[in-house]
Amino acid sequence: MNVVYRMLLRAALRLYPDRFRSRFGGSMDEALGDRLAAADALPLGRRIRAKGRLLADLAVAGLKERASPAYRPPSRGIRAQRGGGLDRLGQDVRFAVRSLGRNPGFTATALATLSLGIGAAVAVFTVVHGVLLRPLPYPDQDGLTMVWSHAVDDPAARGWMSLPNLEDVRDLDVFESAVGWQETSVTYAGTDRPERVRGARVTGSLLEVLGLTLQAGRDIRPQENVPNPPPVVVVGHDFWQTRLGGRTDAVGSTVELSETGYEVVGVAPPGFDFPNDTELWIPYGHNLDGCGRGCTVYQVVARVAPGRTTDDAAGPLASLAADLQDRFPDTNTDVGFRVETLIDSMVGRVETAMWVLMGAVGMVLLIVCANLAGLLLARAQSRRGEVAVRSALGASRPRLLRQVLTESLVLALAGGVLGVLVGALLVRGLGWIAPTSLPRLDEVAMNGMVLAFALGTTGAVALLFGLSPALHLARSSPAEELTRAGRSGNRREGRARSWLIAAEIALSLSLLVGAGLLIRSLQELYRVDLGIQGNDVLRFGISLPYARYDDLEDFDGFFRELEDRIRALPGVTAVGSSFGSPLGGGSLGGSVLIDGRPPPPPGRQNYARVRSATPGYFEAMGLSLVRGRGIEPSDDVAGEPVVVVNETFAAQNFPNEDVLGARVRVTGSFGYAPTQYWRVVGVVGDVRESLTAAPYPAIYPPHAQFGPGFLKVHVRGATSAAVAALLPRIRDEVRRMDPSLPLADVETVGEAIRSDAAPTRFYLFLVGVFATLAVGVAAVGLYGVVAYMVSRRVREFGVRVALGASQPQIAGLVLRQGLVPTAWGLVAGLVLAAVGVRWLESLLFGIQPRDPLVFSAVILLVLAVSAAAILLPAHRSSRVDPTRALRAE
Amino acid sequence: MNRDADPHLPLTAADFHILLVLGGGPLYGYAILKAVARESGGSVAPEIGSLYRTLGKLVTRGLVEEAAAPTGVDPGPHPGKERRYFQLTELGRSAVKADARRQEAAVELARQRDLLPEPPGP
Repeated sequence: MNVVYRMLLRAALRLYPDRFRSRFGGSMDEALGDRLAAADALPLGRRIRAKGRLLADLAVAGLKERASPAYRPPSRGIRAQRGGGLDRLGQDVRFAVRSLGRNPGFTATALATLSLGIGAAVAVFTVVHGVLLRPLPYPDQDGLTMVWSHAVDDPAARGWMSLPNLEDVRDLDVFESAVGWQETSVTYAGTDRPERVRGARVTGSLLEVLGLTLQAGRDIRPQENVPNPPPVVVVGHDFWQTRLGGRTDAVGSTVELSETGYEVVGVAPPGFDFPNDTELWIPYGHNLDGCGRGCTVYQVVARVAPGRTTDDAAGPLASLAADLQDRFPDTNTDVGFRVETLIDSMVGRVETAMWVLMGAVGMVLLIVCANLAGLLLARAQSRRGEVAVRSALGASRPRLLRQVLTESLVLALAGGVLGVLVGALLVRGLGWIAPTSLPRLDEVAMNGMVLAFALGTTGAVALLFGLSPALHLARSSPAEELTRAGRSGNRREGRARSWLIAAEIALSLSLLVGAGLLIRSLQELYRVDLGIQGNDVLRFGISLPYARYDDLEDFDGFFRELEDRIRALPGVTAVGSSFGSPLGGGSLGGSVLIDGRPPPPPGRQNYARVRSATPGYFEAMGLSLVRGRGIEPSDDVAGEPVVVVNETFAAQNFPNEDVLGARVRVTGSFGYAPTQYWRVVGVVGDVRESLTAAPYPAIYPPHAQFGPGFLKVHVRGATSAAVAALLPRIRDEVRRMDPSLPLADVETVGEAIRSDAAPTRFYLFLVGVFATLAVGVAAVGLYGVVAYMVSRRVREFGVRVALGASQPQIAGLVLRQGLVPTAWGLVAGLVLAAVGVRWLESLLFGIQPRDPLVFSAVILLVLAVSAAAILLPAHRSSRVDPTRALRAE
Repeated sequence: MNRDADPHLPLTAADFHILLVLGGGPLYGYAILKAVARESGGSVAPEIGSLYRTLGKLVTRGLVEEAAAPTGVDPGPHPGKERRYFQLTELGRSAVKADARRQEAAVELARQRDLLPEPPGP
């Protein structure tokens, strides 16, 4: 992106008069370097605004300087009379409208292309603005930062924090406040059907850190983060309105959450749903006994102290990390901390994608401009006679120029208005197809900024496509035009149009390459073997309230019975449950300890995911058993503690020994089961947690021995439709066992897989649409140029045929004329694409950005489309009848 | 009092702050930009383009001139690119002085009419 930006800066510098530039250019260049370095150090949102301001100011000041009297050329005697400017503008506009109205075919074509191009640009900009550029709804957002912990050799990781580490970070002088949270969900039973509500367990006053005040009551207090915390809750505005009826006495009232009465102590301001569509905030209730410095359970947001910036935090965090490593080597060896501005942490991962889309739509817009310029050139040529006559009758050249430009401007403005309407429709469409994982999607809306962008784009577009007919006019001589009006074409214009076509082909080719690469990525994504057979599996979460289910036997009893009941339903082929699920998140983890081996030194541990499961889980998810046995119903709390591991775990921890029979455990206490070694009884195949993730070492202890009280239940049916149809019966079974339990996150695993590929599909869809549009427009343009050329040279062809040229020879002539811009376009497009794919790289999966298959396919496609666009008119040219052609002139 | 500066008065806020900054000695472009923003409390915060346009005008009017880099200073992070300095001319110095006096008089009047608090005593 920076390369492009620097090019823009250089272009803006060229707007200054030469004299000014030769005097101050070097110094300005140097100051710009300093200014850019300062801007690059800013957090994302401010960085983009600062650079935008810098560029706009540079361009505007350059134009003003150029317009200043000091650089105006000396007057050449008679000057166009001053005054009456508005009058003349009105005249020009009226003239333009009339002249466009006389040619409805041309006008409709131009408006359609323009409104599509501007509409697409406006729609994409609306999304980019809402996601990237718009400030967060928190005061002084630059002071807000996420604090992550990371392994020293993985400095970009976004690791969570433990409470003691969080408290040490918070106590640093550079921070004013910090708070940790963990997302959760609770059952709200206040309405007729129990429902799951998204909540967050916080370590303190989240709203205060973010700089917001509650609309009623108070925030959660840090001193409430203790074991067995007071049952208090801050509710969101929407929750207050819909569930509590917006009662003014809501604060102080009691709501029942997961069968515990909570006192409502505060109501958050409207629109506040941090961190993630959250509606309730409750104290975490941290118990340091079970979860100390090594127990990383929080994401942390902090506010830097007044007068400090997020950059100032790096030093103190580094010394804190070093200090903690000395004092707590077991937990803090090679652990670093880093900050990332809140906005970056929210949208940083989609930034490239957004700019890629913006670039793609910009290319479409350029193609549209090139095409319109071509159309206008052709039109200008056919109006040469008219212009010559008006010129002969005394219209001055500036006046004629202004008229031509006014016409372009009128066209562009109409296109811009239509474009905004098209854009509004497209934004709505984008809202439907955008992946839900796109951050800040709810903040995407058209607003003043978007309209300003639309206006700016329209102006730029008018300038770009209006320039070519204006230049054409500036170069022509009326006398010459009058003598040859209506006769054969002008070589220079033919060349200009050929160049425009070449540019269009080049741009479409690069867009096609982008679309092709995304198609291949999607193919590769769909080809990924997740290690499960999930298409016909329905899953949902069940969370048992601790108030009534409080030990392993309760948990086990409930899920065993539920699975038996579901298994008895017709059409169900397998049922099994697990703690968390692939593509569904949720799992615990820790570092691996092996019985009989010394604990690995700090920094050398292997980690493993812990996913407790019921006996039917492997069958329900289609995991293959590689060796040994799976989990049996007899593996209960009275039996020997056992565990099934995956292949990656076995390979990583037992490269040269037999894993079966070994005794393993992971560090950390999870609160449900005693800390103990488990005997490995089986090995299952690897499972990927997402389409792009590598398999991770995992162990599966029996749920009956490990817990917890919240599981994902997986139900396999004969087909996905059959299993989805079972849902009401499943709900009935759950209700029969416990009427207060809601089903959370109901989906088929197939849906989850599809939504994991949704971002790639979304980008592909947009780039694909742009590419198709681009190729279509370019093909029509190429056809137009060749057809026009043929029509202008009918007479010449007639003469040639009369002198004995064969029809293939004539067709060859035409072909050559069309092939030259195509060839240039191909070459330029290939270079452009080869350079441009660099920006696309992070959106690709499983292929090289310079994938030869994509490049060759695109070249063939462009050649085929061009050949079709050339051959049609070429074919016509070969049927010229010499006698008729000569008579026509 | 030097009356040569009169045709240049009153100065615009941007001109005044740039001259005021240069009153402290020669400075290069980006340093002027930062100092102007800081000393004006952000109320005058030109970007590079506007700054150089103003500097260009001040040079044309003879209030500012280009200067050699002071000896012994850091040549800047962009080797090979000139770091050009600007300094006040005598005329520029009288203009900024005269304008400061004009503003001082205005401040005094504002105090007398209770539009501004009295400055804290010595």
